[in-house]
Amino acid sequence: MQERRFGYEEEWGRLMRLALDGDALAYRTLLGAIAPHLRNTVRRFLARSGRGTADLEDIVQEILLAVHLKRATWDRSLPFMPWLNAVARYKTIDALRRAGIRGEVELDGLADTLAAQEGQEDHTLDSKRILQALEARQRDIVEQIMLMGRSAAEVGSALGMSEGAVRVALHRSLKKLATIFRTGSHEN
Amino acid sequence: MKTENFIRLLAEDLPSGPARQGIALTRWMSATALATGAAFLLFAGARADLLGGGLLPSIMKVFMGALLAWAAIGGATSLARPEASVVQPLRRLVTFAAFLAFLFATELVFRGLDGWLVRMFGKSIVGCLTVIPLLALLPLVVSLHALRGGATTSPTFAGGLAGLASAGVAIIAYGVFCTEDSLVFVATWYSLAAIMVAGLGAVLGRTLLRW
Repeated sequence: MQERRFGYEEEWGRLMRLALDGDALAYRTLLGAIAPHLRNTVRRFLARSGRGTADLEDIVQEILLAVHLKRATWDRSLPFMPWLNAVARYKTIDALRRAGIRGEVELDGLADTLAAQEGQEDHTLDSKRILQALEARQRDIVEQIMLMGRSAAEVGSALGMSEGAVRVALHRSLKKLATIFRTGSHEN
Repeated sequence: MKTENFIRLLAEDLPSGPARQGIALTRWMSATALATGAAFLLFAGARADLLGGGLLPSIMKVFMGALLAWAAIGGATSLARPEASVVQPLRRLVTFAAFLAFLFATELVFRGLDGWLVRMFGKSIVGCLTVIPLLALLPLVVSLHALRGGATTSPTFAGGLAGLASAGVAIIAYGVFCTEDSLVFVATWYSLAAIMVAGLGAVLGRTLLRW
């Protein structure tokens, strides 16, 4: 993947530094800003590999999750973009490799068609599938934060939990989500 | 799942992050080296002539073990970043291997070629090839665990480096006990033991270091 030099590279590094020091607004801004870049990067990669874009958004989300879970591995004294692109490359290749294993093999036209349809089914990690894999409590927490936009404290009040307990459950859910992405919905 | 909603989830989890960048591999391995060395010496004891004729060879073995561990730990630490290249770690290893070859050649030059095969086969090959890998197991577990906290995009190679680092730690402990002093012996069999542990580390790394 090419690394183009635009002004936003330094801005994103600046935002990530703030985020690593605890600035949630900077972090939200950063994630929202890099998502389109990741989308384009993955789209180019898929095109070059001759693959369709059915999994595009899943891969983007998988990369964002990896950026989040592995954010401490960025060395602040080094540029942000090579780190970001390395994470994106690693996760995209991983996703494509898994898709290959699940049967998108060049056999004949029919097999390709079936595989493509199967691929759509297997890869679309819709909310229902993900939430199914979580425990009931984790599911409630994730739903309230994602769909209602509540904070951990607000979710705690709503569910009768401490904010700390909500945070622990949230973090565990995200790590579980990474496993689901990595091993696919078959692991359910 | 809409990406903009998903981002809310990630942002709310921001406070969960570790404070410092880096996997602290040097610190972990130093502690493990101390523990392994102390435990082994308590169990097996140092060689009888340590303060006599055995001092220089022991120092040399400990030094080589430490050098290997240093080179491999440095390489593994840099590989814990996803954008890191394998070139620098490889270069360090090649330099180390060259130094080892130099030592091997030095002994051949100074002690002559007579009976160099006998010197190479020594007395304790089996001991050497079992004890060093055994001593390296705990360091290997520790280093792989530390590397899991990173984000390596070369899991097999990073695992192999963890193996070499672990072998280095094992050699530091074993070097004070082993009475084989021929450089030809040490360079050959300690290297083989290290390669075995590196192989194990690479195989384990391939699955354990995914993220």
